[in-house]
Amino acid sequence: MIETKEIRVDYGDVHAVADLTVSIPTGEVYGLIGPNGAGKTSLIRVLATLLKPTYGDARIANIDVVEEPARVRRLLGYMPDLAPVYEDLRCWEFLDLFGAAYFVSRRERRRRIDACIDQVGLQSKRQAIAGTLSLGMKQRLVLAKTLLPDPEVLLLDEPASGLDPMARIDMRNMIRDLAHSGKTILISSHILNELSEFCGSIGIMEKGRLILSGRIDEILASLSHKKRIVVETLDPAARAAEVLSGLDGVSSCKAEALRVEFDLDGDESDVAELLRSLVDRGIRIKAFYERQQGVEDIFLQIGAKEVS
Amino acid sequence: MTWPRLDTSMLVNPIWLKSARARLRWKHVISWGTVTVSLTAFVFMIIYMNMIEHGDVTAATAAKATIPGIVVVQATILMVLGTGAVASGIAQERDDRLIDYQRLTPMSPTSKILGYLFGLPVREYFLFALTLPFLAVAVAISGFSLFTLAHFYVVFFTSVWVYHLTGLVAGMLSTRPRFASMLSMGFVLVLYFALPNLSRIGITYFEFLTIRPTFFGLLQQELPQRVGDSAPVLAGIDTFRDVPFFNLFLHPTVYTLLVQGFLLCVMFVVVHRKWRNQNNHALSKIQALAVYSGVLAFALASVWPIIADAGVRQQVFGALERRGPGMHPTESLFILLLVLFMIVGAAFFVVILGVTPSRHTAIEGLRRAHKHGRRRVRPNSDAASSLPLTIVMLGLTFVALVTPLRLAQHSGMFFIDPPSLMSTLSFIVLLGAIALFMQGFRERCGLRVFLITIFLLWIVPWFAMTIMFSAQNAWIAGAYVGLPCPPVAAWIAIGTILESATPVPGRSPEYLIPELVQSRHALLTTSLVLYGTLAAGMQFELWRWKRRAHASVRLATLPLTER
Repeated sequence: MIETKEIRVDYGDVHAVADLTVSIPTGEVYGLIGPNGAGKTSLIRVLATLLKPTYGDARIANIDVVEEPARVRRLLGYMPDLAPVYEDLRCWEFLDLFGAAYFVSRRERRRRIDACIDQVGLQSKRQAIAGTLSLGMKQRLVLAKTLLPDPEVLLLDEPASGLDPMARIDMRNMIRDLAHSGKTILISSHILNELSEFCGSIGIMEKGRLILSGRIDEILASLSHKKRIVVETLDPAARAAEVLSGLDGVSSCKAEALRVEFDLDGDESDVAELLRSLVDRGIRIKAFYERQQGVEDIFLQIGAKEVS
Repeated sequence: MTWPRLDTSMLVNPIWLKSARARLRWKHVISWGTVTVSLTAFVFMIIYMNMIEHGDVTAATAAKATIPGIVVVQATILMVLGTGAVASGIAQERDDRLIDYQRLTPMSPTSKILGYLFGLPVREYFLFALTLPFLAVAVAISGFSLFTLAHFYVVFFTSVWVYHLTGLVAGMLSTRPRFASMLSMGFVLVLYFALPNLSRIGITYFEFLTIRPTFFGLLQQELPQRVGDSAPVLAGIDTFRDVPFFNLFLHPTVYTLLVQGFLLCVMFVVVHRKWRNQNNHALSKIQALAVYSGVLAFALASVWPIIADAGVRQQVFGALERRGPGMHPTESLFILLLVLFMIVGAAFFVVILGVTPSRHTAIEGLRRAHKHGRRRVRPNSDAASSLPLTIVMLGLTFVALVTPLRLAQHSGMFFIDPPSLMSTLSFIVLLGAIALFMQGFRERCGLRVFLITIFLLWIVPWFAMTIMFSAQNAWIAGAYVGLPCPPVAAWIAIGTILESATPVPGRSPEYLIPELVQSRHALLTTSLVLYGTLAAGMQFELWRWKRRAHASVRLATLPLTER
């Protein structure tokens, strides 16, 4: 659905995006990760037809975003970071403006405005002046505006930036619902935990380059064959760590108070065998589990931190 | 059978509706409406009551006298407040990046422009409407000609739209939106206050960008004598006469609509292109050629009758002649040619500045052409070199500058023997060299470098020359120092052309400072060598760079930031 080939975006002498190639299939939720200044916003603005790439191809639904921006725009919903709103319009007027601008008939518009307001949880603010809303509510309003024309592709640039923890959770839940609706979503963020829950694939950007891209599970598998095991004990964990360090396949053992965490190079039967060994040696175990690695682990292992 | 219902919501421009909702809430309507109604009522009553009480006139005459006052209130609302609302509104939307939302909607650029053009000043249109009852009362009491009033409002509204589009253009062109209002005010000051002064030496069309000729001319015809008496003091009523246009005389309203229509079309095209893509040049190459041709045509149309018709020349230069000891006809021709050069030169400069691609744009265009299997960019694309356009424009410029000379020669009112061919050719070569240098430099270097160099090469020498002339009377040395400044070079060149002719009998004409007359050929040769060298060097450098760029793009190895 979304394809870029050797996209480059330059601002004077600065390469904001450098030779970036990525392909996002239909229905995929793709998270774009990177520190501030990595080129995420520039890439999204190119895809949104708001910025011409210096070089390279970008296509959405096989339509060239540079050559046929008008056709591409019909497929797109774009939400910029720190999403601005018309401060002097009421919430429903703001949505009505864009419904009309997307040629939605009046009757249908009314229905969709209600649906979108419900979807983002702004029912009580329908008549409120947009300028009086909190930042989180403004973000929701812009998300509602983005969803109103029912676009096939959503480009969400830092949708949760600047939000307090509660608003961030709400926004995450809303995007997770959208992800389940089958839309193709490209979402950028530098807050890693946000993306773990609903992204099928991720791309990590650094200095304008895409240094890693693919499905999260495949990336994790390629990065490490080891399992990260956590053991919680009733006695001080030092004893458990001592036992573990003498076992085959165990490495990076880290004990703190009543908890010990380590890598195990082995399969499921090796995990079971290890548990039996601990119990046999008198370690009183409260919990024993494999910790699922996430986007944060990938990011930390890749070590991307430089801006362009 | 049921008939399909027309969805009227589609007939209302959403952007206009957005502005109407935002700017016409009850609190705005009541507060602004109260101020407007009070102010208009005050203007109406103070004029009407004073004339009735102290003027010894009938109610009809007093009511008639209130009309200019109401018009001034209306003009303030729509032209001053309205233009400000457009410029600041669009700049604000760009600043807040709300305009990105509008860019992404599938509405046509024309709908969006019209939505903003009539939406941003919607409150001002509403306030204007509040003044209409007072106008209606004045017309009803006075029996003022409705035809004259309608005639006036046609011009009034075209002027309003010119002003509003100026604000929109400033908002769209400015790369830093906060400067848009300043840019808009600058445009307005230049277009509507500075340039109209050129009508004093015969370049009439700038005067007709304003409503002043129509306001003072048309309305005054209907006003009581006592009120109309003040009009000549305002120096506008004398311009409301048929306007010479080549060999024709156009009604001032027709001429106003022609001039304003031209400007409206140009600005609409600029805004339309910017809506389609913010990075587009203001005009395409062909559009730029059309605009430049239009400016030349209007300028030539103003100059033509002054040269061809002794009566018109007397009308224009009579005032100057009355002040001085008498002006020789060739001296008036000299002034006209210099003014024509300045207008044409300014238009040339702006067009070249606006349509010449930067190196980035040129390389992007080349890459895009290669991507589509073409070896060259399309000649009308923004990425194409402006050299072909420059050459065509130069051809038109030569025609525009040589035509008045030929006309003067044929009229028999200026010369016994015409100017020498060599001096005319020298002038043409000089213009060509200046233009080719300017184009080459603009295309090869960035805008900032270009503007700084132009300042150092053109403006600083002019400053130095002025100091040397005024403080030291160092005429010849000063002229050499000032030669890099094109108007100075043109002054010497045009002076040399006219010096080579034998004028009709009369007072001995003076074109150049007497001390410079002897050195004029050396000065002209120096400027030819200077600009010839600069133009050749810059075009050669540009050609080399293009070859390198072509080769590099073919190999796909050229980094865009190559300097």
